[in-house]
Amino acid sequence: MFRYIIRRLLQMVLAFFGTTLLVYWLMFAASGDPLAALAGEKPMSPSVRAALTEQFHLDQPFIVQYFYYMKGLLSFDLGNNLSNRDIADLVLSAWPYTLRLAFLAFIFVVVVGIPLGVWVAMKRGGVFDTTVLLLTLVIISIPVFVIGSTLAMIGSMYGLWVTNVGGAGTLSAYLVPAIVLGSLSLATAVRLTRGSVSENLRADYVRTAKAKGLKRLRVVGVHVLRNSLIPVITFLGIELGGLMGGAIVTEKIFNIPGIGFELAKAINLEDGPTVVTIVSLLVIVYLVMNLIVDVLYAVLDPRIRYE
Amino acid sequence: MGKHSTDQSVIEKASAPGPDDGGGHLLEVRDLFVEFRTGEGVAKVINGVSYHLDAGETLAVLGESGSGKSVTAQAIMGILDSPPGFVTGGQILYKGRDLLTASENERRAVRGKEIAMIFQDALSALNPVFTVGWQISETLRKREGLSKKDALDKAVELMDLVKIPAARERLKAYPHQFSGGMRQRVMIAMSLAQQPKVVIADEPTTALDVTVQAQIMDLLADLRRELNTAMILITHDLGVVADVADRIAVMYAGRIIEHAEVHALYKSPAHPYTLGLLNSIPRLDDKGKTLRTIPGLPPNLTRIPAGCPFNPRCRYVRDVCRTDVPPSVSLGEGRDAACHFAREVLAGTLEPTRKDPEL
Repeated sequence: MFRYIIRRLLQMVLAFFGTTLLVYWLMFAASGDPLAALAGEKPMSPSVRAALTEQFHLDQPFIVQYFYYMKGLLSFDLGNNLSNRDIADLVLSAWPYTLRLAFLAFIFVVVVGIPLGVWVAMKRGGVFDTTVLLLTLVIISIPVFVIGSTLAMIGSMYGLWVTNVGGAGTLSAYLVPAIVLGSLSLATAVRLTRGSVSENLRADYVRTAKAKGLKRLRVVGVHVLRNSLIPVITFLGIELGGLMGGAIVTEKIFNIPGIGFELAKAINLEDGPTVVTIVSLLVIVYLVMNLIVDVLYAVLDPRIRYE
Repeated sequence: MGKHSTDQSVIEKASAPGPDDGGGHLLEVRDLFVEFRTGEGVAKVINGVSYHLDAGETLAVLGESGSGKSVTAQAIMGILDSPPGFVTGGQILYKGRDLLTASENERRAVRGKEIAMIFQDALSALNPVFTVGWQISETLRKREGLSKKDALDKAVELMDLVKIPAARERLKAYPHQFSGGMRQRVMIAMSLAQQPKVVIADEPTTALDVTVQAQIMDLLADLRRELNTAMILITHDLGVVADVADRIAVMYAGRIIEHAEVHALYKSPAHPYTLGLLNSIPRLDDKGKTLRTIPGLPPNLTRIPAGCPFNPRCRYVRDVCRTDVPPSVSLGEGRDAACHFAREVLAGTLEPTRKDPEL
């Protein structure tokens, strides 16, 4: 197990440098002249331009710029963005909003998705099962911006729920955005749980558990569920990583000043440092969640031993 | 369909109050009917099975795959997958109480505690994600109300009983960490946890190596003697039953076609199918010869042939065999056989009508 984790950590380092390099290069190639974007309509004096070029190493080749950037990132200096704001500050102020949204969405997915999946698996083939399956298919097929905009529109037309959350919104204001954000994961979680549970319900060990005289609730709730949740938890772990990385569309629709919101803003402004920094952090979150999922997998399924 | 239902009534009449029906048996299956309703039609899996078991004795139920031996056991346990399986008739009496009309709670009280089951493939029959200690002690904790520690101590005792070495150290091991034979021992220990009066062993050695098979059969025989547990041993292997069983019931196409005390059956079978089974056991002096088999296959249970279900494969077939379902004939000393010519087969005087059935 220990060796497995070490090996995974080394893989993580490679993946981290690979993705950041790629993102950095994309941003480098996409932005024409970041200083012009910064200056906007107002012409920039040559001395200011020279100073900024010097400050951001803009006259250096790509790989050197990347090197400077990594040096800063690894010494926990996230640097300043093009409007000279501390990026660490920006991230720290934005992330709590995203986390609030992410955890609410995650709880929604877990609390609704797993029980619903188990329920329909036990009623497999029935009307309820078919209805739920159809609904999940519909949800999966609709892009999130359609669901989001529709719910935002309905909410604001009839004054049913908060549609402009802003920075001061209470936790309840995040409820509808969380449902929008979680809907896709929910649909997938229901289908995954259903498939996994109904497959396990046919397993031989279920018959053994019944033959032992255990109650049905215990057979399903302990024997079947413990086996069925292995793939579901894997999925949920990676989803949580994704959710914590912010949701550009949902945050934008409901005006939540989270990470996704800031990222979208930075992309529009061609603010390379901010984009790359946020993406790098997201990569780290994602990689860590992946590692946790892999370790969890080994804990949940004793047959898997990574040696 | 109409043809079949008339056939059934013949079987019902024939095998309902059998000669063994003295009452007061520990477990008695009476005229059980089970069918599987599938997309391809209704498979009549059990067609009037009756057998009984007294305290402390071992009944071997013998038959090919698909003869309905496991399904009967599942019906007794109440763990038949339904759908597609449905019990459509008969009684299963445990201590005189019909389990088929009992409530789910009453049935559950019998399951594991009174009648326990040992399954064929222990690797898939044990839950892969729980330790064997946890699985053996589960019913002790949940049904007998033992503390976690006491239940685990009891689990160690049970594992010692089934001769698993270093039992206490292995409590925390998972099923996949055991060898096939040891896994089957775990399965046996688990079935004995609640001290059942009846153990149904459903092909307990089929998934094992031949050497290990013998060990497991010996273990089962020892346990039965020590604990005085009655046992139904389901198998398709004539070789394993001779030493262990008291009586043998041979099943074919969902019926018991012969039922006899074990030595009597080995000595002189009263049904051509049993005769074929006994003849197909390879012998040492057969070296170099082709193995003898019963030609043909068991019938498709959605289309059981008219008359005796064995008639297409039988070397002694007569006209009556193709039209009439043979009733179960009592041959004395607790012997029954469902063959029109049971007495002649038993006496060895029946002449074959063909060398090999035209198939």
